[in-house]
Amino acid sequence: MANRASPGDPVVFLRDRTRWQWPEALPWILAVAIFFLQPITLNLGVQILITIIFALSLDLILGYGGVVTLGHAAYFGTGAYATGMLSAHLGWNEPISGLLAGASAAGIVGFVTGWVLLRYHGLALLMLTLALGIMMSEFANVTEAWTGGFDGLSGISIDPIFGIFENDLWRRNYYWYSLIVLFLVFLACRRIVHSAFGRSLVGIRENTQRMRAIGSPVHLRLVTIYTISAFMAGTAGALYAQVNAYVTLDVLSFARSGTVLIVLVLGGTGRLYGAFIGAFLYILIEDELAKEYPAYWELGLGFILVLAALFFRTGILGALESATGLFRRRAP
Amino acid sequence: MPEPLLQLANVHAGYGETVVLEEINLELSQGQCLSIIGRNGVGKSSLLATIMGHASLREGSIRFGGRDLTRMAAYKRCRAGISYVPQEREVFSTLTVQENIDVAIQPGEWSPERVFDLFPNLAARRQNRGNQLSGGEQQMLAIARALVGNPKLLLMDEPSEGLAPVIVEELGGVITRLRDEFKLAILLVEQHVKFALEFADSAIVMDRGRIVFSGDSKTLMDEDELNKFLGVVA
Repeated sequence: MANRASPGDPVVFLRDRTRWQWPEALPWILAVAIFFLQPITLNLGVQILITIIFALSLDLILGYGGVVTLGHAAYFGTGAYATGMLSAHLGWNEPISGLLAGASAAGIVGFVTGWVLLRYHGLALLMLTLALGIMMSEFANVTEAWTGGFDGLSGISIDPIFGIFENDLWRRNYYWYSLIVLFLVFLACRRIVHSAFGRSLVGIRENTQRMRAIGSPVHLRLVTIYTISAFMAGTAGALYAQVNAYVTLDVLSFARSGTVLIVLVLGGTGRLYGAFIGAFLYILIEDELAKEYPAYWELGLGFILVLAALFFRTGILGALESATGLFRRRAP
Repeated sequence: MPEPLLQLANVHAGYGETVVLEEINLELSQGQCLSIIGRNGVGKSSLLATIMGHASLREGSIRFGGRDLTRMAAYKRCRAGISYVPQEREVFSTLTVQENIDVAIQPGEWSPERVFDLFPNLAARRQNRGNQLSGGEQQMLAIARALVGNPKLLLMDEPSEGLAPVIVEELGGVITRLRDEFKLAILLVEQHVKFALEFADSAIVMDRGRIVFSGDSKTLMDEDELNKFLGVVA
């Protein structure tokens, strides 16, 4: 006899909820189209893909868990330095294991720091994450023998992927490599946010005390998602190190933490695809302004962001949702 | 004699430096219902918050099912078998009805299907978000969410507040079923004194953070007797 699931079964409900919708294919079609049509350089495309991964990692903790941070670059930088140092100092040049090693190092740092940081909230948490980023940056600066300090870490030499696909000058192979990594990270994110665990994160974001009262171990859940988020940020950082074969203190900078926050807020938090839109637009605008107005481009970028903050408070995706209701039913 | 399900002994509790409950002693057995009545601001909700672990216990002890809750985290108290229906309902506004229930599930006989049987209106709205529900539906969701935590003890803080009389009547029927059919122990804080006294066999009256009456509900059915403790006409 067939085993029929009941309509109230949460497993059935969550399975139905995670069904793919056709608009979700658009960013992936666009990504493939960019490779073949090349309206932008693939090098810029790779930067966008890495930024999307980084922004997705932030969306997990900010958009879903409600954890505001100004130090997320600490994990991006950890991933970048770990992968870079493995190659430069230990000769570990295999790209996929190097990527996983960098991501794991960031995940471990995320777990340890998250365990402490997430006991705090509000302004205290904001200050502590900011301090973490500064401390990590200074730590990388003083451990010059390993990190290269202010001069940066050179000597990174990544082998071809599967012994075949090299990091060519035009980034043709690394564009696909980055896109596949992004797709895997996105699948993981999507699975997480639509799971019961992901729903409980939204509950924590909305009302921490209520979640405790219904039996949810809030701190443990936040540490879990923070660790996963750090792992993903580390993945982005490791990919960055492999693509550029060079790592500087910039990967740990406050500016990088701030930029990813802007990217996510610009696109829309708590929606996953906000990371895609935010990263795509931010980097394109930044690139165009830098080309057209080399001296004043940051001023122009700032002006655009002020406009976005004033008129798109829920991000571009949020504004689109309000206007069309296209994703309304699916948005958490 | 078996140990009571819930036992508060000489409890003093409050928030920060402020003590709002003093010398609270009460016992509740499995399947027993107790109404807590009193004027606004006398500590009724704080008493439930203290049992749930949301207020600081300064002195005394709280035992539940033979376990000391004094230093137990709130989420562990829930897992031990205490569920709380808060005064403001506090449903998760961006989660759907189904999701509100899913995030609260603990192992036990109360499944989502079973609570939807109890609240058919909710079953019809399972895809709606918390903020799309009426006040009565939100209250039902708050109770449903508490039930899937599979409690032995249900703490209910003014479940009828702000609801239309017809909804209050429906809600009263459900709570009565929980008492009679499902044999849940219930601590009920309620402004509708008549309903509270009819619902539970025993009651306590609180004033300025202390228990000023503890006994049979029928005693308080007498208006003069009730006024003696509340100082107002019920």
